[in-house]
Amino acid sequence: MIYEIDYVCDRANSIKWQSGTICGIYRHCFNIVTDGGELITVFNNKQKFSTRAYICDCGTDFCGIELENGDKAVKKNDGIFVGNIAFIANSPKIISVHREKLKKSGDVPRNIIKFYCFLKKIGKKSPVITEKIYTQKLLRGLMKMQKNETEGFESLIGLGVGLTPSCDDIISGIAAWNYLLYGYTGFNEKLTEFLKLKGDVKTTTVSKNLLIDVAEGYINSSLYELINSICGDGNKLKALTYELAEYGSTSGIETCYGILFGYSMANGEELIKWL
Amino acid sequence: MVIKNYIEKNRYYDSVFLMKIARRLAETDGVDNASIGMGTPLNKDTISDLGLWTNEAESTGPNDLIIAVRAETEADCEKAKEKFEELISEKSDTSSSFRSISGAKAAVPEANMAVISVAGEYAAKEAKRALLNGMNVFMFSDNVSIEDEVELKKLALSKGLFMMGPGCGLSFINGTAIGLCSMVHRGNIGLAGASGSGIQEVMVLVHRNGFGISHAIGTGGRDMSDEVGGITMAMSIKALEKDENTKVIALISKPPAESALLKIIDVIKKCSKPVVVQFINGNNKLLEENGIMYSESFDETAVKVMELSSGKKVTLKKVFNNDFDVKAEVKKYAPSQKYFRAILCGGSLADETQLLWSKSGRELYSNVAIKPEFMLENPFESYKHTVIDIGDETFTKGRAHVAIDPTARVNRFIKEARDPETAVIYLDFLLGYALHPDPASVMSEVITGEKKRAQEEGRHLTVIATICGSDMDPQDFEKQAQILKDAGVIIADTNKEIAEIALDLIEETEREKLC
Repeated sequence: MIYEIDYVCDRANSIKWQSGTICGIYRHCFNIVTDGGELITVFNNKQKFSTRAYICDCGTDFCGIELENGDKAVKKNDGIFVGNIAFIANSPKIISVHREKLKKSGDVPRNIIKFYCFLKKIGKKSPVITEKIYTQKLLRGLMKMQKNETEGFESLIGLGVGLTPSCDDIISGIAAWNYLLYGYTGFNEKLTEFLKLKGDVKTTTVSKNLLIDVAEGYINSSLYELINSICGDGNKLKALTYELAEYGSTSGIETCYGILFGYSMANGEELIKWL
Repeated sequence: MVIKNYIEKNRYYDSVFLMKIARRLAETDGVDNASIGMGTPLNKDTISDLGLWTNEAESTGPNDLIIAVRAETEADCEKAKEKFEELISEKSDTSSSFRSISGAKAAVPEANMAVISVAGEYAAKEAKRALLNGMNVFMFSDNVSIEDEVELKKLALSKGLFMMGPGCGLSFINGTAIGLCSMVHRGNIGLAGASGSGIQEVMVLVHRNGFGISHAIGTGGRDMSDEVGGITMAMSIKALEKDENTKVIALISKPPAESALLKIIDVIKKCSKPVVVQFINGNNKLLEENGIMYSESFDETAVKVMELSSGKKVTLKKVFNNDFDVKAEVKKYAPSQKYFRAILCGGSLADETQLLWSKSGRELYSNVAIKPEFMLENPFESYKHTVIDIGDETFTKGRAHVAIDPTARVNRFIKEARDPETAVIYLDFLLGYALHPDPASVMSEVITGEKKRAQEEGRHLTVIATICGSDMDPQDFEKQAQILKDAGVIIADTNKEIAEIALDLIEETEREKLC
């Protein structure tokens, strides 16, 4: 089968690779971890995608096509090849996913409360919030993080079930908030440094790559638009909260909690109130 | 107690799925506790905190999956591991539901038809892939550009394959109902056309009267346009002509563009089998000039094809006896009640209702008016006598068709029933595969409630209905009819008959008011 790659994110386009392994096949996307340990994700629509996206015209579900975890993917000039499937890239459009710092123009404390209320209404829970053993570790890790970021990363990165461990998704929300409000400073610099040093042993390859992206300001549109709304007029807050909460299995909801923690940490507030 | 850690290298599953599996494992006989997670150092610590750690997992990395089990015996641990494999394979098993054409074709190489019902923007590409894989296409999806439709139909034609659709509601091929289609007996009457509910109405009338359908081929609503030029319609006539089980052919369609009509007339004239044509609200002059048989209602089409099939005169069998007292019914109306309101799932039934009313010289407004002067200004508000095609996209945007998800019709029924000027409400009930499993029950509850409410307000509601389905449909035809009768609904056999009942009731209402 032949599919056409119509769009590529600038972040994915900058990665040099020749071969990799399929790891994680989902309805809307599948991951390739390159032999150099980088993440590439092939998506089947332009509505929701991560910063490492190649977007192709496959109209159906990736679970139904002949892809298996562990399959080898090869990149050549004209596309990506996996077994009998070819994803051909005939001059795809490049999408920029690097973000600039936001300017606060709205009532942020009020929008944060509204955002929290929408989250509560959704009712979807992360295992690190519902499972006591994880919740205790999360709280301890967050408290450490307020005093010393690196100690917090030690206690949280790689904790939780799934391809992107739950605490990584929470940190992703915190990092996005910090980058968009304060730029690439402090927390985010330390996070990148930590991941480049210890990421390979502390967490999954997929998660390490996605966390570095957020820390460096490569932020997907759902997350960016939500934080933009919190900092601005808050008009579309409800829809944007629901949109991000639907991302992944529990990743979206965990990232939302990360935003709340990011806000509170920056303002020296207690974190436990959000749990 | 025995603790075992099983390692799966480079396996990835989402968090909710893994949590669910861990819970299922923990509930397995003999198992005390279980946890599953990626082998990150912090997850290993957590497994250890839960008392589920063994050195077996020592060598795992963050990209490996750990399945940790504590059970009464080693055999129980093994059983839990087998259970894990079983649950994982359930997730990845696609043998019963294929989600791509290539996957389905690879698993079932003999498959020769693809049914496409994805968002319009993707449908054309998928259809092209199916055609290139040598498969006929039934495309339920709409919102496909006319250029894509023409390209697909030309490709299909060049390969000798059928491209049914876009926007194809139903087909009945070799005894298999496809799309929103009734199940009927097989026989020697072949149908083709661009009218879902129209084809279904003729199919069920043929079935009820002891005849059967060889094939019914849906063409899609735009097949008879200038741009498409009746490609699928012409192919259908030729295929039915070649089919040895087909003796007579009927074509049912919305009014065609003249260029397409001329092409089809040419094909019909060359056809060796008798062909009856029904163009709903079409100009039949050209057909007449070319000596082609035509009809003006679904009842008439059904009767004509059955007569041609049997060589005998056919009178439609009565299934429902509706000899009710029109005068007595009308006497129950309050002075304000004077209008007819139809809320129909079948677009072609809505068209035919308008035609039948038009022949009686009456005004009937609609959201799908066949005459521009009767177009409703606001489709959400009825005006005088009104027929609503509630399956129209205006009411169902973002939802399944109203014959599958009746919410839009329930809401509209309540609105019409509470209008003090409404006297008669007509509802059609479409049966068949992929349609709502029990449409009568959904509506009967609302009908009973609104009839009672009307009575309390000094009014009387007459609800009339048709059931466009057969006794072979999964909804159980008789049961559906009984549910409606119990709710006080008057049922007629055909759309034409119901239109006549409605006209009788409205004329009597007007007479009553004059007296």
